[in-house]
Amino acid sequence: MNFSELSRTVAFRLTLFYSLFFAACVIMLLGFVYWQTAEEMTRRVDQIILLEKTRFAEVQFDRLPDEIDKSIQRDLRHIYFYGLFASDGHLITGNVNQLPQGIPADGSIYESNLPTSNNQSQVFPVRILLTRLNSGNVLLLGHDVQQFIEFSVIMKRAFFWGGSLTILIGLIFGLVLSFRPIRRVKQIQQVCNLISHGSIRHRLPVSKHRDELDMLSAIVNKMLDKIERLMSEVKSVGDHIAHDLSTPLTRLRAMLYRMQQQLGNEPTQRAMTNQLVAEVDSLLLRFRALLRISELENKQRRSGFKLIQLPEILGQAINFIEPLAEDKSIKLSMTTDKVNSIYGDGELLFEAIANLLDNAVKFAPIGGRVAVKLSHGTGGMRIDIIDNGSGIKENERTAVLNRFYRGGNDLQTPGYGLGLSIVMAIIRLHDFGFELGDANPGTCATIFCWPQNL
Amino acid sequence: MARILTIEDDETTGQEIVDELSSHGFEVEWARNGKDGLDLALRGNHDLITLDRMLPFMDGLTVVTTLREKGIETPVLMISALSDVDERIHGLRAGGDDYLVKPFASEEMSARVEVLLRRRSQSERQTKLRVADLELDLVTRQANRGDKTLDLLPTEFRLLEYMIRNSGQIITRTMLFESVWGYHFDPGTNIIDVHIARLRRKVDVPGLSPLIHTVRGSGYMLNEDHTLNEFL
Repeated sequence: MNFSELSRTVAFRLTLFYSLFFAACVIMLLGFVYWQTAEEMTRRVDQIILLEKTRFAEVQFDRLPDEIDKSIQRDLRHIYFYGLFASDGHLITGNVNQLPQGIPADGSIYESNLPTSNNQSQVFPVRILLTRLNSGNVLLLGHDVQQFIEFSVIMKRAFFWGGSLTILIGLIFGLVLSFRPIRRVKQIQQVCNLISHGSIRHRLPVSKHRDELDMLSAIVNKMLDKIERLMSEVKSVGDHIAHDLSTPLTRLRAMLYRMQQQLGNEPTQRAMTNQLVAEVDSLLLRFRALLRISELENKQRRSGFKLIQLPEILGQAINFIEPLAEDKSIKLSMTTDKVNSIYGDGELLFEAIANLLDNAVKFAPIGGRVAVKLSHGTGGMRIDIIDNGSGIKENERTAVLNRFYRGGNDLQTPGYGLGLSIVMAIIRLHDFGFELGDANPGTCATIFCWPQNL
Repeated sequence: MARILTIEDDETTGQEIVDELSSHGFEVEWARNGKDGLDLALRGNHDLITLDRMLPFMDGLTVVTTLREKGIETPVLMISALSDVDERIHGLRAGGDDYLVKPFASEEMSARVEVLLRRRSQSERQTKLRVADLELDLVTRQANRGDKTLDLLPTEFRLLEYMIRNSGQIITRTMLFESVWGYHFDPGTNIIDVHIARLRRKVDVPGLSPLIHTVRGSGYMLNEDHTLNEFL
């Protein structure tokens, strides 16, 4: 499970979307609070300046410089600015050295920066009012708004951290919330793989939460039930045909056999009867193979399962097939790792391995070789049966596992195209894996002897 | 003449069994349900019983179990439409001596009957088996044809042993596969024929009279009778 997978889930995207939305809301809310607060603070400062203006307006002209000096002395926090300038701009008294540029003396309040009288290099942001007195002098009243700036910095920091943390927490929650759906999707994917490989009896997992995935799974499961039932009906028609026809065919064969026994030595008649018996035998073999596949596929009980030694079974199968290989001068070899016993049906595995070996010998050239390897795979033992024949084309490797399929290469060899279907039925019953690969040249048939199921 | 009791409810199959076994010279008695079959088996002195697995009134497993409980050891060939391995195991565990799945070829059934009858008369303690100049020493696992020792593989020795034990009787490929390899499925290919051909190359060397004969459409027979070839 990687980030890319998680980030594509609906849960993740929704959580991230909500986080972004929430972060935006937080920023907007903070912005609104900031704006309202700043407005209120400005209003209050302006009110103070206007009150000061009113207070100074009531002071007599000659007492104004004293009043200004007193006000400066009372301002222990140094947040007020006062200045009384002559009409030529000369400072009469105050804690401001010169009139600020560009501010009209119209009694309105403006924003500006002012240096203090003590330190010219230090400039303070201020709300400022200039008013021309009847005497022609100009009165400057100002209030330090440095705390506004500090408040703004605090708010910006709050915007940044508030927004970032909201998004980060949303991201983490999104990832956490995505784990479960992704795990569920993976489980569904595994089951779907099994179903697409023919194990239609499997069903998608449905949890007790009854969420939307469960609802979907339940719908798909219902659909699978129906598909399985339809397939089973179609298959059972086939099986019934095979079953019902094999009895009359057996009787037909018995009659032909008797005829064969009672015939004289007339060569043409004997040859014809022999041919007839052989044809009926070949039909019966096909029906028996079909019924065998059906029997294996329907087998639910595993009473034949026990701990078995694979090297022993491989040895028996090789010993069984050896004369066929000998007839074609094929070198039959076996290598085996030290392996533990596995749980399976020895008789059925013998049948599957003998079938694969029979195929390998059939398709290996005269003087060729067939190798059997028993080794450790990723999840348990693996059996490789490798021949150096002409191989199976990549696009036919799945098709050859189907009933009656005979690839281009097998048309010259005897068979009914049912052997690999029997092998597959046995493999499925064991819940093992099977793969046909390229041996360059030839085919490598591999049985993975470990559970392939969930 | 061996007396055989056939317990079979299906008319066609029953008739087929009776006809086939009668044609082999056996005296056949036919019971059409399990209860009658058990009565006859308990009263009569039969050499062998062919017993259907599914019967009215009393099923085949109960019949064979009752017989064995009463100490009657007559060989029983179970015949059943149930081909499942589990069913075969149940049938054999209940006391059946062999198991044949329907539909079956008549000669397969008669061949199994013959082998069961032969097995009954054979002593398990035999250490040497002989047909004509072919001799098998079961202790030393050595085979001789005349004064020449045959170089046989273990499988070939087992094949030959089974064939000698049942010499003069038809042995089908399925019977060979079941008894020599111990498995119960249709090997489906000509592999048994190839094994026999290899054995034949060692046993019936040129210059000696052939002992292993192919019975067309059925299987094989090991016999010293030269005239066999004329009708096989």
